[in-house]
Amino acid sequence: MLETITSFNEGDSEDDAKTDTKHTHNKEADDEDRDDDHTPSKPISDTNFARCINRTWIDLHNIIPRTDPGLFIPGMPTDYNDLEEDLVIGTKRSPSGSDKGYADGPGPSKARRLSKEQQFARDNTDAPEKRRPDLVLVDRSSQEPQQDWCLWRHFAVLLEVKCDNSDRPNPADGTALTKLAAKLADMARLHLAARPFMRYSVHLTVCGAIFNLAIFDRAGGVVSKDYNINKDLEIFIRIIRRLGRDLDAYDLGLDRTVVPLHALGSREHFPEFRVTVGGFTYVTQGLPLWQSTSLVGRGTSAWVAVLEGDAEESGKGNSKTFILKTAWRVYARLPESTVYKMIYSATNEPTSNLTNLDGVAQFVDGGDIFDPQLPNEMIKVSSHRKGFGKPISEDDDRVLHRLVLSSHGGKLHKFVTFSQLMRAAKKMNSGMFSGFAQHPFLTPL
Amino acid sequence: MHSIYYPSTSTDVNDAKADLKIILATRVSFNDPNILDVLIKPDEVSDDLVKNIKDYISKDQDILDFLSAVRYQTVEFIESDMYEPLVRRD
Repeated sequence: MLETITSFNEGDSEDDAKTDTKHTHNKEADDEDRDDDHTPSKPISDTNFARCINRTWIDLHNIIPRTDPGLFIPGMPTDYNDLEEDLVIGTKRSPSGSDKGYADGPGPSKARRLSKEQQFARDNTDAPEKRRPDLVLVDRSSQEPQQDWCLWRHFAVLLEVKCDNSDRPNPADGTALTKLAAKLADMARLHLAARPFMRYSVHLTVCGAIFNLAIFDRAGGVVSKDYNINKDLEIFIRIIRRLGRDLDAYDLGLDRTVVPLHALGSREHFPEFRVTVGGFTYVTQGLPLWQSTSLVGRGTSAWVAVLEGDAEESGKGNSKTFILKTAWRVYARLPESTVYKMIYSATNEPTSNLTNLDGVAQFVDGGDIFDPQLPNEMIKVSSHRKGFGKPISEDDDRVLHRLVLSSHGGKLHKFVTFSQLMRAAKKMNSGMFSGFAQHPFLTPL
Repeated sequence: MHSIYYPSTSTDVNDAKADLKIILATRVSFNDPNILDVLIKPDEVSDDLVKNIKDYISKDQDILDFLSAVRYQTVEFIESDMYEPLVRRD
């Protein structure tokens, strides 16, 4: 039913043609991309893949979605072999026709169909790798063959199905946290960790005849009123159609200040993102170094990034790398960029005793992020909640903040000698000492 | 300064789950009447297209059975006989 509504083209009414314009156009953009260069991984700088809408519904009951190899998110499998043997049917399936990027294949995690008893036992375990929605609307890449598997970062919308109306996310008393709402939030935090630069995670629930729309963001969540699929079938059709065909990645939660340079639905390549900080534009490289898995809070992620265009000028692999850090900060607290500026300006004050900043990261640029369409407005959690949801408290209404640092060490798990670890520890210690302990105005945050 | 509860950003699953329970209780808005119109804008889909889709799916017996089943809350029948993995019990 979901796929029928999403892919419906019959009749080609005037409106159908109208609503299809974006979809068709995007396919053309992808096709142009393919025509221009036969290497599908090469980003096309003038193509904003967030605007490309190419989605399909996937039933996850027999598939355990994974993360990209190398991206560790507690609660998600990165390898089938980590899963219990009795749940896995064997062979990995590598992305068809390609050995790039995922030689081992992030492929599907196919689980055997279970008996009701097994299903009950499975669903009542707390094993995090089994936490997943029932169905998902996923982004596809028109440059790659369609697959029946997906990664968590491909999820555009998550759908949860229950058989009884009483399981719906809205509580009977209107206030108590329901089991389903908590479950949605738990999946939302994983979704926000796996799909980069998201402001919120979009969910649908169908519980018996009742369906709801919900979003979860860094300040909590909002659940719609109850709709009845029989009485409100037209609304259901409109929602599914809008989600599958009309709403782009920005409408479904992607940060509007970043531009994905690869298809969000690519199975073969983790997308690069163009991110502007201050007067410069950076491009992320590969997987994030770290990402928060909490729902409410800063939602920090840290990336390796290069200045846009630097790779062409310096030659691939020779461009200077930076650390790009994105986080939602509490408005009442000092921005991290300000703290760095204070530390570095303090070195010019003879009374500060701060002469040696060894171990303190080299600050390049940073600050709060402003809405490109409303240049005087900082991007806050409340920015996407205008017109719905209860008011967000000042403490929860966090501000999007970014930092660029030029200090870039190696990953801890790549250290091979004890002395490397000790040198890193010494640096960390001297940084803390230099930055905080000697300065009367700077206290640990 | 305000007194603020700062949730853990621990990578420990149990910490994250505990955070969720504490934090969500007061941070989820239920029964919101506007989120659909603001976020999804369902009215952007034309009445003609909706009618065409509705007519189309009304010819699909599986979909009709499903709608009938949820109307009379007999989803178990669908679950066991039609499409076993669709509905999951917790």
